[in-house]
Amino acid sequence: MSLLRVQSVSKTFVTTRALREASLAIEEGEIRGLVGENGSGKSTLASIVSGIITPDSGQMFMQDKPHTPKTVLEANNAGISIVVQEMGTIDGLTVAANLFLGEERRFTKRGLLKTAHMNKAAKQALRTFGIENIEPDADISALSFEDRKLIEFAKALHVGPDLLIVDETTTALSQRGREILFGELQRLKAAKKSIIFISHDLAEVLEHCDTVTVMKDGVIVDTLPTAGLDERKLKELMVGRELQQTYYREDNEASYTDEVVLRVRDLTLKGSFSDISFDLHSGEILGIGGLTNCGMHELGKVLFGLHAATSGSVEAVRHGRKVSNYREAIACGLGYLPKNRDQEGLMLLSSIKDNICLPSLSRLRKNTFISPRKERELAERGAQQLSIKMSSINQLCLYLSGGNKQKVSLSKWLVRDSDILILDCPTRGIDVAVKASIYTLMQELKRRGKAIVMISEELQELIGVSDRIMILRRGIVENTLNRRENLSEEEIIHYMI
Amino acid sequence: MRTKNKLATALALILLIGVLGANVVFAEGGQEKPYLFGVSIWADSDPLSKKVISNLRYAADVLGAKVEVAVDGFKPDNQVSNIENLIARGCDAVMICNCTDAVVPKIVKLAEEAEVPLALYFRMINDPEIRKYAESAKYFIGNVHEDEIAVGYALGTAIADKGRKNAVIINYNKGDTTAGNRYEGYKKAFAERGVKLLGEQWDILDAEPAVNAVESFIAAFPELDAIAVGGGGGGPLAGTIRAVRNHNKIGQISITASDFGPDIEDSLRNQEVAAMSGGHWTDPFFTFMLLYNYVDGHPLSDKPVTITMEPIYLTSVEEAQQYTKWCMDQPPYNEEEIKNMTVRYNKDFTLADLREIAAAYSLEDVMERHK
Amino acid sequence: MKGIKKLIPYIGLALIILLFGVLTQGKLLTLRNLKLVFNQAVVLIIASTGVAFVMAQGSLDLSQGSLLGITGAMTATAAALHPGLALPMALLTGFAVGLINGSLLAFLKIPSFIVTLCVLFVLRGLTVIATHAGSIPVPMEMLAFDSYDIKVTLLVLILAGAYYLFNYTQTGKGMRAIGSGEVAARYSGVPVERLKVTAYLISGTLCGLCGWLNVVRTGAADSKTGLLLELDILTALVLGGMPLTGGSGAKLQSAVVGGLMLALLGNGMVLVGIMAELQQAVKGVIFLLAVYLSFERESAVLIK
Ligand SMILES: Nc1ncnc2c1ncn2[C@@H]1O[C@H](COP(=O)(O)OP(=O)(O)OP(=O)(O)O)[C@@H](O)[C@H]1O
Ligand SMILES: [Mg+2]
Repeated sequence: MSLLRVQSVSKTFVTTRALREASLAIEEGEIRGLVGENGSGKSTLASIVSGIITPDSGQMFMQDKPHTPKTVLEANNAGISIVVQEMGTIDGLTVAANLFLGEERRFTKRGLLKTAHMNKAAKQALRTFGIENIEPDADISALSFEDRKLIEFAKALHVGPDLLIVDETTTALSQRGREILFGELQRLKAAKKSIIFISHDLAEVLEHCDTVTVMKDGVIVDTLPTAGLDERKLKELMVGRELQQTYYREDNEASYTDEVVLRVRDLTLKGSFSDISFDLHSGEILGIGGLTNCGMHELGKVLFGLHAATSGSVEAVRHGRKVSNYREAIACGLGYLPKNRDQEGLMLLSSIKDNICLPSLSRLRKNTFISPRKERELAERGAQQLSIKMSSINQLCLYLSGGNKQKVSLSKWLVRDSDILILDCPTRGIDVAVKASIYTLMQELKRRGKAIVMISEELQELIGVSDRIMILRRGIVENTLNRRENLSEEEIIHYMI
Repeated sequence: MRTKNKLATALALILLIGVLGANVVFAEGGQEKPYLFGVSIWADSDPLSKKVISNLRYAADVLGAKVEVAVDGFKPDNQVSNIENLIARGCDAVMICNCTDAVVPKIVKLAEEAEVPLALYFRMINDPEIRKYAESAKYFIGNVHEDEIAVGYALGTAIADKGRKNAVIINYNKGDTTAGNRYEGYKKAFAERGVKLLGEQWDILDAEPAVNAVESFIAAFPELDAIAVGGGGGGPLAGTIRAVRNHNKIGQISITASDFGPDIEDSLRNQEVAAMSGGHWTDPFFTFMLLYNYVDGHPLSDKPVTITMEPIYLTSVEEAQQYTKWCMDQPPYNEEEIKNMTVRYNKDFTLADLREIAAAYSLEDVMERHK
Repeated sequence: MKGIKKLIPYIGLALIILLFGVLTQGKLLTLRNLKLVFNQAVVLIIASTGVAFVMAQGSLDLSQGSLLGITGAMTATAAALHPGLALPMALLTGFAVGLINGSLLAFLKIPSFIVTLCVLFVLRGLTVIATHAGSIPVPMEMLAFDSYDIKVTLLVLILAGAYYLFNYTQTGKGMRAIGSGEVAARYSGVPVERLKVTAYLISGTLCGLCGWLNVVRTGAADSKTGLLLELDILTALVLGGMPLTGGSGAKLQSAVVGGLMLALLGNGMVLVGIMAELQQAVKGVIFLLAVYLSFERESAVLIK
């Protein structure tokens, strides 16, 4: 008897056929990988199973009982919980309130919510998942992206699911977060529970999953055991054609010009990082790595002038100007791709066109007039460059798949022809094919003399594309490594912790 | 989502059907039209406005005319809009109880432009410049009003007659001519008769603020034994009575007010009020008669006319019963009397006659005529 | 099917015209009456046009009713000194209040509905004081400014200018971007604070102009002038299809379509002779229907 059976489920959004006649079965104690290109329908399938959306047709069975959840709560009751791809926590509530959202009654006595009670329970829940650094009464919006993700994860586990769905979460997590997550998955498996694990990190899928289902254009292509499968084969199944072997840089040496474009001196943000100095050169890709709370994400924001530094300076050398706010930063040719794309990177209720054009408006305008035709052309160009999967540039970003949102978020700085790009986790949630094209693009930019600061949690990526890797530990530059042939992950980790 | 689309489609369908149906309706023509009188009034649901409207409707019926009512909430913009709208509806004459002198020029201007006669009810024009402007206009027919100072004075005297010594006044907003004049009258009577004015509160247009104001007064002045409600026998009086009852002071505190409503008899019996002025809802009736004669081609005067009216005062249950019987249950002027106020039915009728009838209006007058 | 939702305001407008056209046996559509409707709608449309910029950012401006009142009072006071001072005074008052609204919102980070609600109360209080709880007359010769020619010219100029600003400039696009997602807009270089203030300056100044128009129309500034105008504006904009969240769905046309709808509805109900209390109720029901039909459930989650 299968735990979950999905039979011929279909879903169409307006004109997009996101899921067509999808069928699959999950066994007890199975960890099932789910892979596919951006927009292939993975999140749609996960959302249907977990009650976020309802299918147009098809049937589902949970332990042979018909499974037709209309809400997440109903799915929870049927033993299914999910960690969604996008941010699933609610700003303005505390950690504990988020964790027990919908379960407040448990802590209510005579109509009064016993906050202390709830906080205590939250603390306990977090500790059992090995999360030590988060206080239950903290406002969730004050937490890092990773911590918020982990809280969502804790919330999903707290339901005590028979089937846990994890949608594209790991690329948002650092090494530590991933370890916590995989540890829990193994524990669930040992308890005969099942997991659907959605990820673009194929190595990770192969390592942790028993079986893997491949999707393409809303159709389930195949389901295979991971044993005896390698990354290349999996990629081919996903993309439907053979891919080039490696997508990282071929050369093994740092190469950049002598021209300094961004000079950073003694930059300090109290509570996050201190005394950071470096020069960014034209034609350089500077990787910044570290644990998620080492201060590197905050550094990105300060470089772009979003937060004022406590002390120190950022100078755009070509413009001979110090950058102290985001407007100046943009005027000096900087661009910034935030990690939290739904809130910081995109206006979800606007069209792809509006999002892509926004930073470039000052360049498009003639006197005060902005020609709609020029806007359209710019957006089309940007969308094509990153092959964004969409129905038209007028589609709202809200309705894009996760990876495609990321592409829009990146595209707006590319079409602006920014000289200095600060990219925080640039390939988060992007499928292998597009990942390859983004790396190629970064090298193309490098050739054209642009400079890139790439903040990343992925060691492979840091090693694969950077000219130099600056490693932060507890807000201090621990070491800066030059690109070389035998640079290993272990070496970087050594400086990180 | 789906229902919304269906709804939207349904709306579109109704639209289509409507377009088809419209052709049929538009085809109908009109016949000979009765005179139409436009009335802009502050509201149409309080006792005073209801009585004004029904009384005007009765008179119009008798004369085969029609009345169109528009509510303005006493806001200048609405008053202007109402006059515009009423004129646009094809009224043959319009009348209004203007909220301030300042809107009069515009309203007169509208009437002049449209060549529609205009008259005011319950109001006189205090501002000399504006009065001059209005009275020089061809289509300004005139105004009817009460001597509100006299009203205040009479009610103030009634308070003194009851032996009360410590009074407060609550009133409509400052700048309201009627309220201001009543206030002056009260003050005059109090001064002459040695009643102390402990306090006053303005801007009371409704029951709630009246309750609050009166409760504060009762708390502040234990010696309080009279409350003069300057403006409004509707909300403000009801609120005042409620507050006094809440403090078990009915009978100890004498209340006077203007514009009595249908429950005046009970109020007097329960000693909730000591004296009231009212029954002046006939005022607009005289404005109407002025306009009717004008529209009918027999203007009573070639210059603007001002008519002053006396209200009715009630101080006892018996009086109230009489009032109800003779003035409320039947119209104060019957069919024949109304017709006799028009030149159409009574060739010799003059402005002087109308003035006389208005000045004679009182409880005894009505009883006399209808006995 | 999706397209039809965008048409709802226009269908509504057509329905109202049709319904009352029939009920009044064509009187609604006589030239004379249409001029009247225009006359009564012009203030609402101009004021709504200003507020459209504010709502595009996902904020509200509830101060308009009292702003109309206080500009009226200031204008009338200035006019007593010299009639030529009236218009500059009106614009200046509107501008100043817009500046206050915008600055409180943008720099003290107080939610817009609270800021403007407080300003609503403060200004109403000041209006009552300035008019001594009654009314201030203006010199009679000023009534001459109440002409169709002036109003039509003003309206056309304002709508053309506003349409351009709203749809074809960085300012308008930036404002809508703020409505779609303030943080993301900031991260893309939109000068959020500056645009917030700008939007309130526009809505304040246009409302100031309306204050002047209103005074020359009625000949008086009254303590009650403009009472509840802010709700009429809100209703008009929502009826016209303006999303409460603002953002990319915001359209300037909403001000015109909604303003006309409301004016025609009011005029039509008067022509038909519907009781005043019932008129309010009808407006309420229509407002509810409009919100229901245009509300996006998916995006509701994102309302700040
Ligand atoms: N609410 C929606 N309205 C319209 N289209 C949608 C909606 N949700 C998803 N889509 C479309 O359905 C398709 C499948 O999306 P889905 O989110 O399932 O992709 P995915 O496989 O999870 O991609 P990714 O790897 O980028 O997360 C995409 O083309 C997307 O644009
Ligand atoms: Mg997805």
